[in-house]
Amino acid sequence: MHTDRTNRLALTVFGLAVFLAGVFGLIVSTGGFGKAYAHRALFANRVSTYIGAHGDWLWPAAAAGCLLIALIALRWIAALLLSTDRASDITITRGSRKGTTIMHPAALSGALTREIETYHGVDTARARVLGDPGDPALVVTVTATRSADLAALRHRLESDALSHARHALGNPGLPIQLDLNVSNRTPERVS
Amino acid sequence: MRVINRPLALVFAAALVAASVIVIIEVIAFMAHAGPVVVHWPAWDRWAARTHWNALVIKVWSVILIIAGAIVLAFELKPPRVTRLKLHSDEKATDAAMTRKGLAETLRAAALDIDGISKAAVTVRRRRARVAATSAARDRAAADALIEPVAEAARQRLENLQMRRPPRLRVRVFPRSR
Repeated sequence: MHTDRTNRLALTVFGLAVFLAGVFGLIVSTGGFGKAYAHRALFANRVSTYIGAHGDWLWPAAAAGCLLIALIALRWIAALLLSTDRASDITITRGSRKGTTIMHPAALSGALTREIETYHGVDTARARVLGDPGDPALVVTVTATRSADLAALRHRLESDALSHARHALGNPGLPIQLDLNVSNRTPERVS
Repeated sequence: MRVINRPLALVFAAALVAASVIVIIEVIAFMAHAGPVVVHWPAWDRWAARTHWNALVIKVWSVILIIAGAIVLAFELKPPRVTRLKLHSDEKATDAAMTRKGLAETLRAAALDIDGISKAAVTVRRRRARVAATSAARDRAAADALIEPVAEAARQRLENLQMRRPPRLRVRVFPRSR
């Protein structure tokens, strides 16, 4: 999911802010900024005095800032709940006179999966087309059987299946993530 | 970690929206000369005006904030557990990798292919792989004699995979206990 980086960044900033607020509070309360400061009331400082004196414009400005934060947070929630990193229909153009072809990502991933599952030593295969339809990427996960020759299988995957996918999309430089897994199922014995 | 981050981010974003809306409502109410609407902030204002920095409550809350912040930071900054170990690829646009579990399974299969090995468990980390096999025989000498064949089989599998950074291999063979 493409909000993962945003989630991590926002939560890191939040964690850092909370941690620093705690450190500041502890330093002040234990007299780190002087005994006199530690004996002061929480609002007896320059910032609070400034806010008190300029509240007529500062609080509306804070409300406007909060409106912005709320809108950004709502967009974030929408991205978390509704968006997907799966690509939508891909338009393939091969020369201006030959027209265009619309490729549904499920058609590509289905064809690729079916081809890979016919290879010797493959237990299961899964493919997903991700990203922007104009700049898609492919993620292929292949689970090999325990007895499979992984080097030969990988060579065949790269030279046949992945090459076919690139050819189908008319994109020789299509980024592909290939994840090889090995099944933990014991092969059935032939009696 | 990513799985837990999503609900955590959702709660955090919802809290941001709620806090922002409360501030907006209270500012509008204050400008309209109305009293507090959602939260009774004048009571907080009076409390902050009479509470000193050296009060116990400030120290306690500071410690709570430090612990909470440190937990969130440690959780977010911890490097994610490696799930894929990269392989060499002929094609530049192909990012080929072996899954950690897949590598463990193939090393386990290599160990079990050796005659005299009855059980094997493999742990794969970012830079090392540990194979702990159990011999069918009960004596120590027989188990020790199997270390090199198991290591060689595992090494062979790693070489065939053409990994970019093959993990260091450590093989131990234990005699069967009973």
